[in-house]
Amino acid sequence: MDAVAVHIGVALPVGARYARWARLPSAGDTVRRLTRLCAAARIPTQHRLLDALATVSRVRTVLAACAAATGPDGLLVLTFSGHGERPVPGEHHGGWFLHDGVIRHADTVELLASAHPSAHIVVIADTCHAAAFAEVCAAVPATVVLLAACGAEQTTLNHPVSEFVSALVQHTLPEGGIEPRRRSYADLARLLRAEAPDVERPEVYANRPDALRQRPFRLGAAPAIPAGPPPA
Amino acid sequence: MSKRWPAAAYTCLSVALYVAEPGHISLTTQDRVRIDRVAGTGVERHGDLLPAGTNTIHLAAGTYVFRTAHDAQIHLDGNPAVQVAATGERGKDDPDLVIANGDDASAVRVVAVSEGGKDIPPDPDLVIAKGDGIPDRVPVLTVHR
Repeated sequence: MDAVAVHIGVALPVGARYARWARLPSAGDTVRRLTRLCAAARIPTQHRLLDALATVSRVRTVLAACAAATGPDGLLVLTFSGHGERPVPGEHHGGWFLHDGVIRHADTVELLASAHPSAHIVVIADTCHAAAFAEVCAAVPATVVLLAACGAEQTTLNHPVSEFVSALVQHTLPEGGIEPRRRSYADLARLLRAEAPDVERPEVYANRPDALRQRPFRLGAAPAIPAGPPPA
Repeated sequence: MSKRWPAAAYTCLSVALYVAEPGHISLTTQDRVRIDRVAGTGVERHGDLLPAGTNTIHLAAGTYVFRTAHDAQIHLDGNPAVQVAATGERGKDDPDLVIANGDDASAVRVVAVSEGGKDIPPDPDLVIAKGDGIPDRVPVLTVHR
């Protein structure tokens, strides 16, 4: 078994199209927070692709390599913080704006598809239209859990610190400790939604429903947690 | 561009409140909303989430924003120190805010942006969202002066 994380943060793409877009100070902050979270979850290898390092070419290369190296019962955590592309039905499922262009979700899952079928992939989308990624997850043989900052047809505001990521870390790592609380992804979904406005509703999705009963950020063989309310 | 599925419509009303002096307002929404205060580096959460229904809130001087997916009402109760801006057609490619000049109970879609006056909103980048689209439908904001 192995575990690896890839963190992508892009405050603002380059190019004339994006000249009037807002710079997102939370992009780098989110990468830092999720790096710490993954370290606490004992993920030994982490790649951080921030701003100019997060080109379409480099992201594709890193994702392809990490997915291919994710073996039986392995864990791959992929996080993105930045601007999100809204899906257009009949045309595309949306995407993430990288430093020099957009990577569509269909392309991303094509890269993730090389992970072993028994592996777990956790995708954290800290962006607008975040849950749009769920539309393409079925194409991945491995188990995919998506933690999305908002719905596919919703947006999030430009906070210096992402409200979604702040809550996610808080509910996963108690008091900055190492041992994640005994909560499942389904518990996380309830907790995240309880702290968000309805217009910005976090979504948790899995391409295999039983994965929602598992503890977050654990290797594929981690036992499931029985359904029920989260412990206090 | 392809038409979007009606069931997947992006509906959002963004409202900015410019408060010159501390005071109370009443806000009526159909969903749970968060009030954010515009700070130097962006927006920061202001207080607890407001449940659906009518909530009376105290605001110190400053600029605030909230968003909702449904029609909303604001009761200013004669408070002249509060200006309201509905930011409906807002996307990163068209980020200009518009000032609502709703007097009495008129529906605000609205309106008038003064040049260089106090109604000029803060840098719209501070309150802009992290996506690339604009809402398919903008709910109606009604301001009761």
